[in-house]
Amino acid sequence: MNGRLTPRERFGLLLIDEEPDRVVTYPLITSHAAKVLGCTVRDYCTSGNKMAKAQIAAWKKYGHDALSIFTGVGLIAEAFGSELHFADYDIPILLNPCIRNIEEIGDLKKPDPYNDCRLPVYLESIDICFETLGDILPVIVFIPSPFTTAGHLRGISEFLMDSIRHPEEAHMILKICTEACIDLIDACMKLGAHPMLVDPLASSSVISPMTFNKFAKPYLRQLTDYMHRFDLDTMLHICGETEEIIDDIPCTGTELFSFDKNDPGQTKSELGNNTRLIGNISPEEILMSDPATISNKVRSLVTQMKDTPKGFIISTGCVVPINTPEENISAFIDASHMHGKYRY
Amino acid sequence: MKTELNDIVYKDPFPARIGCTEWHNLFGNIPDEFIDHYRYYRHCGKNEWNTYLYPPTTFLIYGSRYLRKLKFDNSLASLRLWGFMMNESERLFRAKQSGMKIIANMGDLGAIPPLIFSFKDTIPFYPDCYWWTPFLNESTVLFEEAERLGIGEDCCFVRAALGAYSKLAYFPEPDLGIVATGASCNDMNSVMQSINRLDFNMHWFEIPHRRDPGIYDSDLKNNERDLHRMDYQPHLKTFVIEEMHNLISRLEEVTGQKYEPDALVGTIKKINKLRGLVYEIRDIAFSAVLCPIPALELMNLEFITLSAYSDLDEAIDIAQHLKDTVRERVKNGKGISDNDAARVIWITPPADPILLNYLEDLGGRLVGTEFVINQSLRLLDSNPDPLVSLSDGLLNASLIGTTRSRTKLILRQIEKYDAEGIIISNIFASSHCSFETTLIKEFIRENYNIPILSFDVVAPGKKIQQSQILNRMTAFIETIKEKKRS
Repeated sequence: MNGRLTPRERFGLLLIDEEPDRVVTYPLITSHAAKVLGCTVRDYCTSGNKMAKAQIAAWKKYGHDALSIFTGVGLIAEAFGSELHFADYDIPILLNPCIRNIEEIGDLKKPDPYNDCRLPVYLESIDICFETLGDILPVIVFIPSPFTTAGHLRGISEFLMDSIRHPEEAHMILKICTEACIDLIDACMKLGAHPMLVDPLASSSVISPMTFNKFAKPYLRQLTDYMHRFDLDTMLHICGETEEIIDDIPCTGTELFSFDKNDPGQTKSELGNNTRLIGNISPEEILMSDPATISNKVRSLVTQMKDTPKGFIISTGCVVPINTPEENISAFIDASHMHGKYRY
Repeated sequence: MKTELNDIVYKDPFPARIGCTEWHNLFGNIPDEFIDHYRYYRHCGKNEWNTYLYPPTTFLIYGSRYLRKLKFDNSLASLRLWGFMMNESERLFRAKQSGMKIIANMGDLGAIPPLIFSFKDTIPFYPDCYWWTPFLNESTVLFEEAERLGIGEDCCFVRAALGAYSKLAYFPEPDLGIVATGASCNDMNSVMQSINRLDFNMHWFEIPHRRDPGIYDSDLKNNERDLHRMDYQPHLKTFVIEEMHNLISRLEEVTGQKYEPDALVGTIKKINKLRGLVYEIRDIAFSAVLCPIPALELMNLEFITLSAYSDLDEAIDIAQHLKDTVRERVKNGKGISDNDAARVIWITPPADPILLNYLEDLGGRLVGTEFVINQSLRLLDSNPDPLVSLSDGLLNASLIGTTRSRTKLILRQIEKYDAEGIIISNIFASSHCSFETTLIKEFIRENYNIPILSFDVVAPGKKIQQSQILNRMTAFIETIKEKKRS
């Protein structure tokens, strides 16, 4: 291989079990892109045009290997009717869930991705990014998964209680959330985006393995099955700890697993033969430490993980914090380029 | 058309051209069993990777951005063809991962793949066809890579093959590249020389120039039944057979196998099956009152004859499926064109696929082509020595002789399919286009008084220039229709 690869070519080779020129470098740069563009996070989250411009500006600055369309995990719940709080310089958070009483489940109406709330913002952003850079970059869209969306429909504590006290109703909520997720996935795919399922509430830091297996995994599986029908390699990100459910990850059907707090070596030995791994420089570290430290961490991680049998993507364990110093991200990218080479 | 698989039936909707989003929605109706059933490299068994029946959206997500702007035939058979074609890059990597040998076959050597297929677990492919990639991806990436290596925009779009060779992200490193010298296209020749400089394993195959034979030339009308026959001096065959023997030595070395004439005879039978199906589909489509299949799918089908998109058995199965679909549509009086569609022959393959969409959008239909691959269209004869048959095939190539001989291929189709207009889509900076187009026009006008439109296909992303092509095509189709009315 002589020619330099584009990120899309590099990512494409990884997905067909070929060794690219170097490790794919994909820090999860989402709302931090607003800082790069110089707009508020509120504007970033509510304007497809701004989100796209920010993503493009961030790529021009850092040169990472894929764009990340994402504003927060309450996106679908908001389209169902939950209320989020928007701040100028923070990601949207749940303010008022739309199902206050379990009896209101029947009132839930599946949102239309083309018309409801901020779902069209997502689509507009994808459209612009794909048109502008889709020839050389994969455009990855984060899809809040059913379990996390359900938590944002009921309130997180309430939904976790529902899973114990009203399991049947909890499944009803999850079912309609799954349908809404599929509708959004479908709309994003039609625009050329590659979906990544994100399910922070399914983390072992939040729920037990038993709850994961009963209430999260089956619905993740429905989403991956749906995408497999289109021959898509599916991606799943779960924040926090996932060590306790690591054996269950392959059963979600995902081909690429983005992990956060797990030990990378152990994750490689447990999953790496059959699953491509994405991870896991700590977001706290990338926010708080200095470029030299980050460079060392990246070198150490990429050296340890680049021989993962099924493939490895160097990334952050979760989204890059909004106020991360730009030089820290540049150090991440430079170190991964330098130490992630497979040839030459 | 109903397609049956065990007890499961899928029925095509009423024939139409549909967009990417519509195919995405329609794909939901296709039973899972069909997706699981259609596979390439069946001899490798059922693997996660060897299915290919997917809608345009799948390939859009993996970077073929132009698909969201194209229109496609809505039949299951056409979807198979698209999926199979779009999957070829991955297929070549999977072939290599499965231990097969990969042989690149370039530059007017479309007659060679039968020989390659005759070696066990050996797969030909055609890097020249990567000229579609910049258009399908709406990308200049491969052109930029070619330019970095010294071949810029003063060369035809086939320079994308150089970029693809350099990157090895679109196909794996070929075990051998067979490249043409002699009477081959100048642009492709410069591309092949540049690839040679990258230190790949190459074999040069000399193609002799086919002079107009004069006394060997037969009367045009006597050749009506064989649209693709070219006349050539008999001694050229001896030369080509010698070249074939040199190539065989190289293939034996690369594959570690001995050349088996019987295996080649068997492969020629399969190749003839494929070419026969393609011929029949084209004949049905060009003769029918309503055109049963769009121009874009017809082009994809025509190019399957070059290297069977790297899987001969599956290619035959797909062509059979398409033939059944087309025949059924004609039988039922269904099609995708109007009754009064302008009957157009298209000369030189449009690197930009949307131009074929325009033809039907504007009220035209395809009734013939000369896409410079005549060497892979004609049925191979059944000479006891299969190398004689192959050599004859090679000597029927479109571009290795005079413009007058190439024009004959066009004249026969004008006559047979009552063409009302000719479109010549030149490739910007392609050396043969610059001198051939005027001559082709002249030679056609010696025989037929029909409108001829010629234009240069512009590079991806040049939207303003492309809109001018659309304007010219609009005026051209209007002219034909006006002429019909008067």
